[in-house]
Amino acid sequence: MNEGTWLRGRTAVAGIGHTPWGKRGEHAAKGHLRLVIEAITNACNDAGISPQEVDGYSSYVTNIDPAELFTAFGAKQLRFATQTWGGGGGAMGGAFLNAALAVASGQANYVVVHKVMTMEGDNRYGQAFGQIGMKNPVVPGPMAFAVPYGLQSPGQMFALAARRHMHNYGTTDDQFAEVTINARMMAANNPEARFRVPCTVEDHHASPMIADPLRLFDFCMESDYGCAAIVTTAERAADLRQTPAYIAGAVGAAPYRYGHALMGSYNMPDDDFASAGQRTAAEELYRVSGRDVSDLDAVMVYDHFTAMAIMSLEDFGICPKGEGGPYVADGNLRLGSTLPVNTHGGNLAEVYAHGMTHVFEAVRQVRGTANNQVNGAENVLVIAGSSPSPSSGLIISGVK
Amino acid sequence: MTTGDAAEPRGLPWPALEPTTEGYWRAARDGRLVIQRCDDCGTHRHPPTEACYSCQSLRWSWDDVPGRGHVYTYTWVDRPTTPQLAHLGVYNITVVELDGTQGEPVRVLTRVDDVTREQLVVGLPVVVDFEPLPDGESALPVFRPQRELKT
Repeated sequence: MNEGTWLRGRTAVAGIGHTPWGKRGEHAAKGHLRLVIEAITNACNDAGISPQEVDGYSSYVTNIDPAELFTAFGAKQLRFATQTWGGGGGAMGGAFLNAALAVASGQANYVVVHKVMTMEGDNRYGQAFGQIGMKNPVVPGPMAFAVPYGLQSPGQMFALAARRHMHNYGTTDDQFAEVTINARMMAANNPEARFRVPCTVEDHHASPMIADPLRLFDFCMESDYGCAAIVTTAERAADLRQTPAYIAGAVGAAPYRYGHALMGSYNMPDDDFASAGQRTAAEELYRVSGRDVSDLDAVMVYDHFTAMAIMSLEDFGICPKGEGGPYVADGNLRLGSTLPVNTHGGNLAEVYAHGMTHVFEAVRQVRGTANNQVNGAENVLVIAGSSPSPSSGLIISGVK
Repeated sequence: MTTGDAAEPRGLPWPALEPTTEGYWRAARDGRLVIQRCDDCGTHRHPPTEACYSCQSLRWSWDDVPGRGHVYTYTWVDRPTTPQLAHLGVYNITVVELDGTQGEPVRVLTRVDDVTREQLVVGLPVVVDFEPLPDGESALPVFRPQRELKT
C-alpha cells in the first residue's frame, strides 16, 4: 500500500444541509448560531440521524465555538473539535480531511463540517480588508505589506494574479466571461440559485470595472448562509438514508514559498504567482485518492473570481498550465462536455458559501439527484478556494 | 524623498512596527530601501521572516538595495473598497520586482506614482520613492517610472 492512501474510501459524506440562501446581510439578524444550527439540523435529517448523535465538529476560519453546538443539541459527549487555516474558502477540503481522519480512526462517530457567514456591515467579504485599520489605523502581521497601499479586498488581490496570467499566457477577458456564462446557464436550472438570468460576453464586458482586469461579473456575490455536512465511516454511511458519497481523498497543501500569497507575500515562483496556488494540493489529492483526471466525471471548482477558477483548473491538470483560457472558451465547462464544471452554478450564480456548496453538488452528482445531472457520475473533483496556504480539495466518489 | 513633517493621513492605515518587519518601514523613513539578507549565504528575502529559505540560517541583517526594478503585475482600483476611501479616486496597486538582489527574485507590493493607465505596463522600469506616514517613524516605499528621474 502506498504511503498516505490509508484513508481512501474509508469515510463518506452521509448528509448535507443548509439554510435558505440570502443576499448579503439578509440573514444577519438571525445570528450565526441559529443559521449553523438550522444547517446542521437539515444535514442530520438528510442523513437520517439525530443531531444528538453528532460527537465531532470540524470547520475552517470560523467563529463558531463547538462548545455551543454539542451542548445545544444535547449530545451525550463531544469527542472531536477542530478547525483549520487557509483563508476564506481555501481550507474547506482540510476541514473534510480532519473530519474523515477523526471518524476513520475512531475518534468520533459523526463529525459535522460546518461553515456559516453573514455579510452585513463590517462583515462584508467584498471589503474584507477595507475594515482593517478603520478602528485602529495600524496594521499588524502580513497584511501590513498590503493594506497600507490600498489593497483592501479579495478582488484587488486576485486581480494581481489575473493580470500576471494574462501577461504570461495571453489569457483574455472574453475567456473570463465564459466562466460566468457557464455558471448562469447551470443556475438557470437550479431553483435555489440566486443569479439565474443568462449572461453574455457583452453583458460581462458592460459590467463595471472594479479591480482591473476584473469586472463586476468576474466577482461572485456576497451571500448569507449556513452549511453543514455529516461525515462518518463508510460502514455507518451504508446503513443511513442516503447513497454514500465516499471521500476518495481530501488534502490541504501549498507549494514552495507560497506563504500568505496575495495577502502579503508576492515571492513565490512565477508559475505559482500566476496560479491558484493549488498544484501541490492537486498532486497530493490524485496520489492519496488513486484517481487522476481521466477518472473524473465532473469538477466543482471554487469560483469566487472567474480568473481564479481558470487557474484552479490548470493547477489540477484539467488542462495544461497556461491553456485554461482557451480551454474554457472552447465550451469545456458546459453540460454535455466531457467534464462539466460547476453544474450547480457555483459561487458566481448559485451562492457564495466558501466551498461548501461545491461539496454539496458533488454529493448530489454521485447520488444521482443533481438538477444538472451528469449521467453515471462516479468521481467528482471538488476544488477549494485559491487562498493563502494551505489550499485544498477533495474527490467525492460513488465507489470506495 | 522623506524629510520634514509627517504626511497628511491618506485615510489608509499604516504598518505596525513589529520585531521582524519594522526595519523595512523605519529605513524607508530615512529614505532607504532595505531588504532582509541572510548573514550566512547572502540570499535576500521578502516579506521579512525569521529564517533563510535557502540555507535555514536564523542570522540576518537589513541590506540597502538599489531601489530600482520593474513592474511585475498591477491592478487599478476603479471602485473604492469602502465609501470612506472614495477620496482616493482611482489608484494602482503594483508588485515590483527589484534589481540587485541575490537568490530568487525579490518582489514588493507597492504603488507606482506619476504614471497613467496607458503607461503602467508589466516590465515598466521604476525607481523607489518614499511616502512619510503619520506615525512620524516610518514611511511607505512607493515607486515612479525611471524616466521621470532622468529629466
